[in-house]
Amino acid sequence: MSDDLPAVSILGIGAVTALGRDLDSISNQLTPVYRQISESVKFSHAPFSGRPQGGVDICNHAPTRSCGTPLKAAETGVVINALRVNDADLNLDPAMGAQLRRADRFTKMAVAAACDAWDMAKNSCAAIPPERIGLFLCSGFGPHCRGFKFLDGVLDSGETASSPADFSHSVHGAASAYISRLLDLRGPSLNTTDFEIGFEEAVRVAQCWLAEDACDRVLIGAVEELGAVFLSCAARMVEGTPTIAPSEGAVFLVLARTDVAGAAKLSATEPPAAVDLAIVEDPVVLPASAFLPAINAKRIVTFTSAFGHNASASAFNLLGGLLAMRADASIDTAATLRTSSEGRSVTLLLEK
Amino acid sequence: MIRSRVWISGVGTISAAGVDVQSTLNCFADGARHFSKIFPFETDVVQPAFQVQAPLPNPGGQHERNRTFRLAMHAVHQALKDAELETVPSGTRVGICMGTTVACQLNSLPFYAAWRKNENPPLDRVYDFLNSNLAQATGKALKVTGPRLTIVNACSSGTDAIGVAASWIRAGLCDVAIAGGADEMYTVPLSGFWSLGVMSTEPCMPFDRDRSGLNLGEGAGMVVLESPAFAESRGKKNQFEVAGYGSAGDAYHLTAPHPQGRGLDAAIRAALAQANITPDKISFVNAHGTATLDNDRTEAKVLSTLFGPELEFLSTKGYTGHTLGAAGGLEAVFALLGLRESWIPASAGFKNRAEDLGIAPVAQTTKIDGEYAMSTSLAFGGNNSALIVRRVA
Repeated sequence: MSDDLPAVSILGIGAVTALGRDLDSISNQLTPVYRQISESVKFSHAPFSGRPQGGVDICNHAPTRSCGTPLKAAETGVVINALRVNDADLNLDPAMGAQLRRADRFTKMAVAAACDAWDMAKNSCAAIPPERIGLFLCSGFGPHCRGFKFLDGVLDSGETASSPADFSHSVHGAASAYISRLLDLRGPSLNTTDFEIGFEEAVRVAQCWLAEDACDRVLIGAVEELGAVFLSCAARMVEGTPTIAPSEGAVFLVLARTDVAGAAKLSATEPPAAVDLAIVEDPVVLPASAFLPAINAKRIVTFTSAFGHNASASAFNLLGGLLAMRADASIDTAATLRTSSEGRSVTLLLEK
Repeated sequence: MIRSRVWISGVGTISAAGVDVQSTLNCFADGARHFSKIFPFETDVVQPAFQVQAPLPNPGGQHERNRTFRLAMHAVHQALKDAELETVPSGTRVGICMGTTVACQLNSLPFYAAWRKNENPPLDRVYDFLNSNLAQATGKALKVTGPRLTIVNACSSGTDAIGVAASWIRAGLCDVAIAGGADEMYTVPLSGFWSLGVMSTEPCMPFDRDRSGLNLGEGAGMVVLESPAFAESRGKKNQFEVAGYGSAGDAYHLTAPHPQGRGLDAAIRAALAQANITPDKISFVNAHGTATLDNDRTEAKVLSTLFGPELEFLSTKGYTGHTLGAAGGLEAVFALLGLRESWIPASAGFKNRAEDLGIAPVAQTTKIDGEYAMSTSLAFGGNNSALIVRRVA
């Protein structure tokens, strides 16, 4: 890690999760998790005690075998629990909502979280020209449900009669296009895909952008969507083994180069020697090669059973850390510890 | 601010224009256009396909069916050989940043068709997809460690990948970075672009009065970037470098470019500012030039405004087709080759000046004299990117 890459300030936070969209509510639901686990490494595979607002869908094969329908109880086969975002949490103000009439669930989750983060940071961004605000969206699977809907069209209507709207919304950058248009963000824009430590890599690039003066603010986020195809595949893949509920949602942050009083600092870095709160994945979803780096942590916690697991889990872990720091004055530093399947580790370090 | 330099020590290319640098230059010199019938699958979409005819090395195992990865690795190995880095010294931090479009989605029609029929199809296609993240798969194949990102910025992915990798080098996150883009011909983008009504059934004619749309292609273009300190430590001299990169959003429309090209204008200005040069220092532009009505109109407007009507520019998509996620990587390599060879080819497919564009690409092989060249990319989602490469005297 270079010494030249300074930490950045977090000016805004927005999230849409299975625990809800209101940050205080999410924080209240998480508090028992990080308070219970203290001074020793303890992992529990038991279900999260607080029932997520979005409810728990029992998913396997969607009855109609079409991604356009809501996920419902399995008819046959392996059952897998999944943590879904409550539809009511995707509502936006009418003017903005009207511009999303063609958008799918993936984009709506992204827009909701991005707008909340932006709203929190708007006072400190008001004087920044649109060209100086960057946008970064990462996702493992992207808007895959819309992609399968496009394939529905190809299979049902033929290659030369498929839906242009489904095609244009199926690309990874569709949600960013909506966000940039709604918020008038005209700086650098990146969409990336990764199944392991993509969010950590994204934060590093955002740090680079700010350090290089490519922009003055970065709206950065991660989005994952549950869908019938991958859930049914996951059910077959994990059959007979303990697992964590797959989940969906979006987490967005507004980052700034400047040192802002009261704002938490974020950096993607090597694991620190000591930290107040270490956030790890539940061992069930860790790759076989993964091992925690040596770290002296006052508390070690996993939020996996609360948020569920998805390809952008680091973003949700970071959200948990931020909310824990906000709610608990004794936590000055928090770090997400994540290891790739090849044993590569990048830590997201939060400092008050 | 971080302002250290980024050297370019190797390039690799594979496309319908050629399977390596020399065959590509021969194609350019001849003005040859190697399009064919679409293969290896049946399709109802009719277009001249710019595909790689030569067999690709088969990596076996989980990547046997992954044509995008095979194209990428073909170009990566060329670039590493060109950089004399076929064996990376132990302890070297090697970043991998790659753009793609096809390889970022589970879009197997046979798998999905079977799934829809409740047939519980074999999961190999799913495992293929999960193991095919381009940057991760490349890093694993090369057994290197360092930052990795797969950029999915649609048609600007390859350019953005090089821009990100250059940032990594400047920030000291890695010593070497392999960057570019790769994409294969596949039925999903064929159907998608057809549905959008932007494809031509004739060989594409970028910036021509009678242009009628794009042709899809496939390929991979890669560069090897190095920090000056690392390159000098192994006795390399600086010949080329990434001088500037800029990216900017239109904030306008999901698929159409901003009519005034405000995002492209901003991206080019950002790249010029990072390179610390004025527009007159750019000896030529390898434009995005897809041959769609909207793209070429927007791009011509911005290029003529920023560089004037005498700008020497071309689109190489007349030789390669639109290779989507690979385009930025390939076109960066072609820009470097133009500087290295001191000539650029005729903009294939261009015959008649379009008066409404106010600017026209080069119609014949053209000598180039200058240090800097620019490559531009416009993408779905309204992203625009510009890369400036420099030949060091």
